[in-house]
Amino acid sequence: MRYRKGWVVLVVMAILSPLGLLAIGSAWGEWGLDDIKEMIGFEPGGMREIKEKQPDTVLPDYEIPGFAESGWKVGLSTILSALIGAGLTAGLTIAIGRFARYGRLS
Amino acid sequence: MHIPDGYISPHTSAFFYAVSIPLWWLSFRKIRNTLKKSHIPQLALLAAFSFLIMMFNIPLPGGTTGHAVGGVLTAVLVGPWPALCAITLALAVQALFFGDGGVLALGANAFNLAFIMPFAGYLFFRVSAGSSRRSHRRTVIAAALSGYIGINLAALFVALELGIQPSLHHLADGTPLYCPFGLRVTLPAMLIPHLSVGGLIEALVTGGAVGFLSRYHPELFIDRSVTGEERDRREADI
Repeated sequence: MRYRKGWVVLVVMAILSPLGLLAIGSAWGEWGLDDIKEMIGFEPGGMREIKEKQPDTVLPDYEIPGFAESGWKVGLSTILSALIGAGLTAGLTIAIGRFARYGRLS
Repeated sequence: MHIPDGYISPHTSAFFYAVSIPLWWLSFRKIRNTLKKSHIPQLALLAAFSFLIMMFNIPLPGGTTGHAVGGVLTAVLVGPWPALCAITLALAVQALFFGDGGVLALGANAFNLAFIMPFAGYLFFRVSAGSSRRSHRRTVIAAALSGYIGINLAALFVALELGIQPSLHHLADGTPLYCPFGLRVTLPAMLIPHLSVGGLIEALVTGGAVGFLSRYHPELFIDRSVTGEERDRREADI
């Protein structure tokens, strides 16, 4: 397999990905509606409208639904999310790259 | 750094889709015209790397967290146009499957992280690294600085896009409809953590990876303008 070492690096990163959860706090400007309300005292109308219409994602916050809320299982669900996400990203890139190469009309 | 849905108005979201869609098209064409078939797995690898590195949250000053992006590293290795595609796909998977960054906001997020960051970092790298006969040390320092500049410019654009919301969209009494914070809040909130720590993380990732790869895997630098191959060929033609 080409770039074998590169793929190994990615799998190691996925296994280490639960470390990324250890950081306390959240990214600035990525809060939910409840947090916003707590900060400024109200929910901005347009924001609420958009957030209410938003469909749920499959794996919110890089966790597999149904896994335990704490303990080692959270770490495992993060690792699985990392593998799934990295795999999807790589697969999509290969698909688009192939399409770009072979989809040439002329 | 990932703008969630609801923080920017539908107008702003539409505007950035209108900007990003032509850029995606140019990126697609560039991949078609310049990358070899054998380069596609490397692009996929870098896209997946970018997805993963964004999961490593690091505490930043001010009680928030941030992460490296890998946008400049990707641009230095494969060129900025293919990098635009790779980072966009990482962002798209994050938005669609993991709820990290909005789907409506994907145009804006791609503009910041997949366009501004790789292109700014790449341009700075080209200028500061100089000719193909540069020293290894200069390459590493130039790459680290490019990463630092790239992520901070991305953070600046995020701050601008969020910070103009209250003045663009509010009720008659001034109550904001989307991001409630103006530029006076968003600029320091995004820039101070990234100028101090976030940028250093990106610099470490970019400088470290470029340093290691240029020494042990120089064949991975497929962007001809970085390897100097293009210049060599042009000189050979004369």
